[in-house]
Amino acid sequence: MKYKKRKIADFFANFTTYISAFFSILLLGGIIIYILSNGASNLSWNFITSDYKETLNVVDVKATSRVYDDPEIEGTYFSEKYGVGLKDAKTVDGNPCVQISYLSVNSPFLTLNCKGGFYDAKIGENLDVLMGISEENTDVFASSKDGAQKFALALDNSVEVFYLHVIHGGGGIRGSLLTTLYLICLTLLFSLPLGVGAAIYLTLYAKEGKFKTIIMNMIDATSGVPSIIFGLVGMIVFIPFVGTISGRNVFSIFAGALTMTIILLPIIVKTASEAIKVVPSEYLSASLALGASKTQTIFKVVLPNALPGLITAVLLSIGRIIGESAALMFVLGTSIEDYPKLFNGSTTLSLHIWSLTQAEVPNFKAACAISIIILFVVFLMSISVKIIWYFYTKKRGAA
Amino acid sequence: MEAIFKIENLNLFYGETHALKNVNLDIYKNKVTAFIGPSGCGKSTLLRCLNRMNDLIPSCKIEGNITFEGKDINTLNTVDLRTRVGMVFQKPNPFPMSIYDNVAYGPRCAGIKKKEKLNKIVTDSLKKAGLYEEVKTRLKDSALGLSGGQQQRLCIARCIAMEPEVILADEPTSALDPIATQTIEKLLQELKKDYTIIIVTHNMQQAARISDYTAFFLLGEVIEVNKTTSIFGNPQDKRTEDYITGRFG
Repeated sequence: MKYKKRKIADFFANFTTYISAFFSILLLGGIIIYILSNGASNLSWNFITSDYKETLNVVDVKATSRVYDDPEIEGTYFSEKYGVGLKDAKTVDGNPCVQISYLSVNSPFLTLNCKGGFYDAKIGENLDVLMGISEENTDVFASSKDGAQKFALALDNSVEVFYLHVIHGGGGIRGSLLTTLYLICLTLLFSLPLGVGAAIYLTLYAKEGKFKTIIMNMIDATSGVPSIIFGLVGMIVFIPFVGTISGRNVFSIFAGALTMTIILLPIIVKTASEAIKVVPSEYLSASLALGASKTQTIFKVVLPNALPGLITAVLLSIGRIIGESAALMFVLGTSIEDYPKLFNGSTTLSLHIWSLTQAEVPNFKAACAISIIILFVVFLMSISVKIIWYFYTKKRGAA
Repeated sequence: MEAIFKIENLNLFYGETHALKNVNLDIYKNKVTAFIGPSGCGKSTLLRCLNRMNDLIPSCKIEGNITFEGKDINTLNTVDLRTRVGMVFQKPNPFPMSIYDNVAYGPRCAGIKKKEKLNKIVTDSLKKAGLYEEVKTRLKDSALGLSGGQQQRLCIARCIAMEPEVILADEPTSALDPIATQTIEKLLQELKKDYTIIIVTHNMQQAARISDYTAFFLLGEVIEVNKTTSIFGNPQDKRTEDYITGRFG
């Protein structure tokens, strides 16, 4: 009887654990699948390498008496009057557009009139907002929303197009990618020497006592502070500080790197301290007994043996920099720049996502595509941490 | 006979624990002195006093005098002292580097950079430690790939590379098998010509085999110091006799 009761209790306990495990996995899997399914179609080399800001050319063009031959390409609507083939396509960031897919030899589109000169349209550029005059002297309008077929028809109807947008590029994330790289390099440049230095001091030099305990507790406490508070500090302290160097109190990557440095310091100090602590003390005493000074011992024996732990600290930091958004909003700003500069604001990948979703027409697909990139990099970081430790312990095991 | 170390009225405390009590001892040059005694009797602690390795333990407090060649060791620079007084540890502890780099570590730290000079030091030290023939083809291999006995001889070679005057050996064979132990003992016998050796051992036969002088420790006190032959043949103190005849320990 007693046994049966226990069996039932066990069953329910097991059941709840399985159910909760199932739901948590379902949730996490669901999020990843959602992001993958929404963003994957948008992910392309072009997306990664092109500018965010498109270049818009306002042009006008007159038809000639010539009629161009239709190359009859599947999906391309050809304008015989202008010798240009159009197709329905998507911009780099996933919005529908009308794209030039074919240009005949001698097409007037190769010498479009624009303000102060000529502009030659290229295959792959997008057209929008057409205004023209037909043979019957009526107005012709078309926009990218009408689709390629209607757009081509409108072109054929016009003897003269006096207003047309030719749009080049845009929608890419190259600028944000660069900003992220700048931020990573700069932040590591500041935080690694500081963090590892502090770790060396705390583990190898500081005397046990109240002072050390207080410092250690403070480091623990600061690693739990929400990053937005650091962002605020960054805005109040670092932007004016960088302003004294650059002369302008504006958002800047430099200030962003300083802010990330204080966010990362506790993490780096802790990880590096752990890495230094696990270096066998026999190495330390062996080195000292050989008449090496403490500094020599630290640089020749302790740090090389703590290297896997230090690399882990670096990888964790990179992951954190890529993922951080709240704090950086205060110091980097949210305007997407194609050519990021050290003393100007721009967006990291995470902030790029935020900016995309805050636009008039939120572009969730592009946001998801960036999310995939971020997830991939962070995933890569944690995998490499595992791999490094695997090889490290293997090497130690052979000892 | 010339005493290289003179220890006078040495008292050592680990926090509250009185680990060495009023130790007076002379260590003679170019002789092997063995410290014997049961575990926790302070023999390793005394050994670590001689090259000031106890400085690394924050709670350790030392009173009394130790002179090395007539100079108070506290007035000597630790780096200088430790190059002249080398140490071999209980557990073989080569660095996770190549065999060559292990031996060259000390000289490099001392500022020797010339390749030919380093090569010579490494070869000579390995030859003296009786390891050269076994490893000459794989000097660039990791030292961790050597056997325990070879690792310990490498540690001795690493110590010799600094050309010390004294070698402190803290139970150098306790982690080794009998054959490796024999090799190390033979090696220490040979090194006696050029170096003063102080060896801490648990193994009384070992002390009897290799040492010239023996000091018997008990509970932080030096009970008896004498020529090894007299200690083992004709112990003056009852406790020494009890220990070496195996009544306790």
